[in-house]
Amino acid sequence: MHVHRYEKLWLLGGLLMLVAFVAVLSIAALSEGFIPPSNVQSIDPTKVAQTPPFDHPGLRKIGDHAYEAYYVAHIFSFDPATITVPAGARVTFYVTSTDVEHGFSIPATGVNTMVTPGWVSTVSHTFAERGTFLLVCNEYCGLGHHTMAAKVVVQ
Amino acid sequence: MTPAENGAATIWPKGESFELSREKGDLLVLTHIYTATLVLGVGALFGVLQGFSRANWIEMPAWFDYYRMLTAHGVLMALVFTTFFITGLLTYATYRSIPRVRSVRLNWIGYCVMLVGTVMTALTILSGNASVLYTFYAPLKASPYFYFGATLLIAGTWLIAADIIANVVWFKRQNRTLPIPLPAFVATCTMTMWIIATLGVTAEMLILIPWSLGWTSGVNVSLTRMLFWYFGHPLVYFWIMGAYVIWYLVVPTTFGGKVFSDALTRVAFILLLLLSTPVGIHHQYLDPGISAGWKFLHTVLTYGVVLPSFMTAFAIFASFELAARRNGITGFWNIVRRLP
Repeated sequence: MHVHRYEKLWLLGGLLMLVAFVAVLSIAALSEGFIPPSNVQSIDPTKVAQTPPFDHPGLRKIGDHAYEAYYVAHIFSFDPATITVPAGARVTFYVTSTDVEHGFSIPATGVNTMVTPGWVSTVSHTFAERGTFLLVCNEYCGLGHHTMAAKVVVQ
Repeated sequence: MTPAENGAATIWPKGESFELSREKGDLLVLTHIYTATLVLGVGALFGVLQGFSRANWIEMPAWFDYYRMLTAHGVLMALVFTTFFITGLLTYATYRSIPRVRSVRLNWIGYCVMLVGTVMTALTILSGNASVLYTFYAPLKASPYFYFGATLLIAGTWLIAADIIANVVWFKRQNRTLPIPLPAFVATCTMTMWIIATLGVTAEMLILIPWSLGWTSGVNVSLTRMLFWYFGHPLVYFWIMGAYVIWYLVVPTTFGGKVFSDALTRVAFILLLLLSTPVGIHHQYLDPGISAGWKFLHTVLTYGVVLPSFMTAFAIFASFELAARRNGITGFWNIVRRLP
């Protein structure tokens, strides 16, 4: 098979790009810890209301400026609808769904995960600035999807 | 021939035998393409209405809700239009490169099965019983007719694939020493990729149909999502390979040119076939049920598409340049200005 010299150089360039992409990805994932939410913790979706801690959804203080927030997503709302934390709080969200697939996203923060019935999603974020953050469902979940939202108030 | 043309090959074989039962084949191919164009028009109309409705420029009647329209738009554009167009294109590539008196019955049956599936799916969506978007993530449930229709659409494409492969097998039996003509080769490659990909969504349908009929009480949500994207990403490659057929074979033809390299074109298609799986999990980075290791592996494998993409980018412009030089056009700006 004849391969033109220019094409060999061009493909070598492509190959180097491939190596560079994989290197950047590996450094980001393995050394910097940029890993998408991959909790792999299962839960019986029909018994969420009886399974602690999701039987009492809400905010728990676990340390100085450290919080855990347990959310139940269902069509078309989040429980709790509002949480309030002080500025500088690091909040770890634990979310599960009792019905269909939902999304869990706070725009302009790193908080973004799918909420799949049968699994507990987790994602953490430090709220440095004061304000009211909108928490939205960003995965189509039915005819009321666009109304599904909650609030995170940072004081 | 200049030295640079080493390896450049004529795309479409020539000869009187090409007129053999050509009318029947042309009618068939045009029916595929016109159906695709019609579906594109309807899907685009829903897209425009959806955009206007989202911008609050128009108010849709209450009985025709936003998500129904969005589902119709997505399914018609992403799944139906592309599929009819590509089955037509690949049938054309096969028929025009393998001269023979042929029966087009199997392909017509495939077309009709696809059409019945499309109509069934479209009517179910428009009646408001399948507002599940084109990803139809369970446990969002559609009427069984939605899943039946989608399954028929896929089953029809398998019959088209069988027709294409039957033509290639016939050619190989007649000409044991000759390579498969390039257009028929890339059509077979694309259809092989498609059959492997659609096994995933068909397996998903085997889970969703009994559940939608009420025969089973629940579904494994993560499994259905994984099966969808096992199909959903190669679906994108199906579009890409359709576009490649045009870039590699149709575009140079309009210049009266040749494909830059017959062998490298085949390599590019084989690479896409090999790289079409397993890559689906890169659509599921935010899924809680998949571990980070699998997400990483699928990301790396997805990057592999760099190679066939670079080969194609080079080959397209090289075939432009070859066509220009054969016509005595030299110099970058002259080529840009004077090629069609």
